[in-house]
Amino acid sequence: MNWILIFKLAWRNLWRNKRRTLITAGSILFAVILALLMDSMNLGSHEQIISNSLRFGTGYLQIQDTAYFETPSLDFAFDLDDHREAALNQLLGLHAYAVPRVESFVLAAGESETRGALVIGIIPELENRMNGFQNFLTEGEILNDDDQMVMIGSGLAQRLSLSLHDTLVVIGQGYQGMQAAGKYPIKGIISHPMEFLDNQLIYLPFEEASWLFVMDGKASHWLIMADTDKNALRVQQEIEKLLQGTELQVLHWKDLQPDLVKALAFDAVSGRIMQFILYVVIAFGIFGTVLTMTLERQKEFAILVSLGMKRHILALQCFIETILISILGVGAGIVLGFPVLFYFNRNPIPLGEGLSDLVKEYGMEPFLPFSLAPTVFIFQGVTMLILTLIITTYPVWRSLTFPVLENLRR
Amino acid sequence: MRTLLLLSWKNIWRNKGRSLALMMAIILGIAAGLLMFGLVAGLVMQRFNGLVENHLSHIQIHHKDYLREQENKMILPNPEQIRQGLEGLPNIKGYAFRTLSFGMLASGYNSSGVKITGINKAEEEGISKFKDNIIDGEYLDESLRNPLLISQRNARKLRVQLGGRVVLTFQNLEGDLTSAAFRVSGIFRTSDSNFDDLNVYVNQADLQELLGENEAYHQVAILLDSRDEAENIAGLLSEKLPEVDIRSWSALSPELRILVEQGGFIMYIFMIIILLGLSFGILNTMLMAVFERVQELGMLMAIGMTKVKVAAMIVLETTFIALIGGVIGVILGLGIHSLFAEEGLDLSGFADALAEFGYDAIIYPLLEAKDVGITIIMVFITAVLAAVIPAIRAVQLNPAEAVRK
Repeated sequence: MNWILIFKLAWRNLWRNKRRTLITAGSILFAVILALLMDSMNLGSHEQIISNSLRFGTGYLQIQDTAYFETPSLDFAFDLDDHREAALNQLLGLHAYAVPRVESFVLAAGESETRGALVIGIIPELENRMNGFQNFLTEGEILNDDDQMVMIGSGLAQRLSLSLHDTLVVIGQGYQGMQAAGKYPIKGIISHPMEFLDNQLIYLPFEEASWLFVMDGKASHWLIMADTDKNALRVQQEIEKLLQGTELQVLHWKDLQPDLVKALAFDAVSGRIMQFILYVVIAFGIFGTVLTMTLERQKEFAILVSLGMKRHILALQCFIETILISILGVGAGIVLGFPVLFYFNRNPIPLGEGLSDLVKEYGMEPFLPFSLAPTVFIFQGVTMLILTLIITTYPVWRSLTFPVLENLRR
Repeated sequence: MRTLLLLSWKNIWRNKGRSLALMMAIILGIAAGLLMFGLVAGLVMQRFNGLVENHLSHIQIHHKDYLREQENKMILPNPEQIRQGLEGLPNIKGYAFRTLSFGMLASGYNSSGVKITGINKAEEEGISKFKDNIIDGEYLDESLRNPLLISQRNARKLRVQLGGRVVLTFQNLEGDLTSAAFRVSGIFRTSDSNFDDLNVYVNQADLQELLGENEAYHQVAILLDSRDEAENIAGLLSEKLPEVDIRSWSALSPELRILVEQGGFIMYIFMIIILLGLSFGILNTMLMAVFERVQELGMLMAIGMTKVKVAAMIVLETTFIALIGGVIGVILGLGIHSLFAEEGLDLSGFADALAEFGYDAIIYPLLEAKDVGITIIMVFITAVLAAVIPAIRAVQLNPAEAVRK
């Protein structure tokens, strides 16, 4: 069998009738772009949700007492010895950093009102590196490490009728049942994007918080931020070694937020179902085009066969033609789709008025984000090639079975 | 005109394979679209009912400033007058007076900020299904001193078990801090994990005693026969009781209003993507069909068929295909839908994930005639629009050249 000849024939056939080739390739191109758009939107919103919950919530990894995950109590606070802390910082390197935290519920009071609030002891510089909370400052200033002052959420300020420079009183339970009480001037008010946090948030400098809860410099847990999840997983293994022989463990965000992981998995499945529907609709569209193309060429096929071309060679030629067209379509689709996705990645579609409030309540930005992850392009490209491969069976089957005589006379 | 219709009809069946491929695309597009619409509407409705039946109800009455300030001392003035006002109003299924307090829940291990709701079991019975959420223990067992209902999440966080002791601390009506020990009488779990984190329930009388006033109520929750009446009745009540704040569910939970009004937003984006895919398939296939039939079309024009009629013929062919596909698609979609509408689609495997968003595990899809209509019209318009370009190409043919092809 002369493969090169068959290939050449197929290639020339493609350009003999340019219009036909371009229409079919256009079908595939369009399908690829649509599928890319959908997948990118799905993955984009996942990336946004994960990034938000990592930056404002758990961090990529957490070092905590083995009992702390079930019962996040200050009683399980701990201290890293100097040797371990140095080793930790060394293994984190440039790609990750560790943030100690103190977190506990207290009663917070203003002049006459009292309500529950969440105290978070932070190192302002690291906190800002982690989630840019400086940007949410609406009044006053950011805390310094050695301040004996607080920053509070605007919702909490309103509910306690407090404004800048007023005094906030906190009463709660400290380390191992100690009484924790203190009063602090308000240095800054921030408007946190997550409303439920904004209504109860009190930021204290880490040292001060640790003193307030009588913890003697201990942290309730440490967050580890990394630049990518891959780096986080790598660092996790090394930290595990480091923590051997202690009561401490290091947990990945997927262990810390099993509900979120399941929610994303659910959303991914429903996204795939929608994509599957899109594929089926698109496949029938492409099939229609390929079918018409094949039927249009019945006379040509009949002439070739009556001139002595073997049917299986004709089938092979059809196969190569369709594959070439689909490679052309998929390739062009990815090339053209990239700038479209890139545009939407940089200029996400804003959500409608009402919907954007809803999304903000969950602490997300009111946009439809698009992802540019390479997996989107690879997955969609390969899926579309497989789809066209299935469709190719029609012209192949047809060229093997069509009646020669009738078609010659057409 | 009749000839044209007949001609287009016959043309469709001349190439069965092609027409069937297009019809399949349309059938599946419509059926899938309807199913997805139903599922999303079902989810939205379920969330609505869940919230309303758990704690929201259709209308709530508060002290004028309560919703803004949420201070424990803002109790309802003159509860007797409110009771009288509620008597004799139409469409009311039931109502319950509730006592609320914001405070701190603490065990020996841990503490957490919570909203304490003091309920009257007999009154709640008539308006809420909250009782069904209790997974362990009893619904505020009267034989205990100060019984309390806690969520499973908080019970874990505070390391308390049934019969365990927790301390609630909050401001009484005088503004002084008051603390009291409560016993865990039951553990609940709703499908909304945020709600679970923030709520505990106690007996109304216990809470009132601690607040220092036996007639202290912060909220009246009213359940109606149907949610559509809420605005109406809230208006009627406001006239009767001008000195309190009366709001319907849509004003109480803007989130819910948006969900009900705009829950379909994402679905419409999805539908548009599907329809774009569909339209391009139809466009290309019809375009190819026109090029395949150049000779035939040229012949028709040569024997005197006007260009308008040729164009109409192409559009009509597409319309027929869309009609057949549309009808079968709707039947298929509705068929599968009704299958799930009764039994419900069981997504127990994702129960925890759904709870993260506040949904239950079994979804009952819900399709309104409006959604069916919109879907059909959208597909139909898409099909006709997709036929325009092929029709224009057909008209542009030169009969003299086309015949000789």
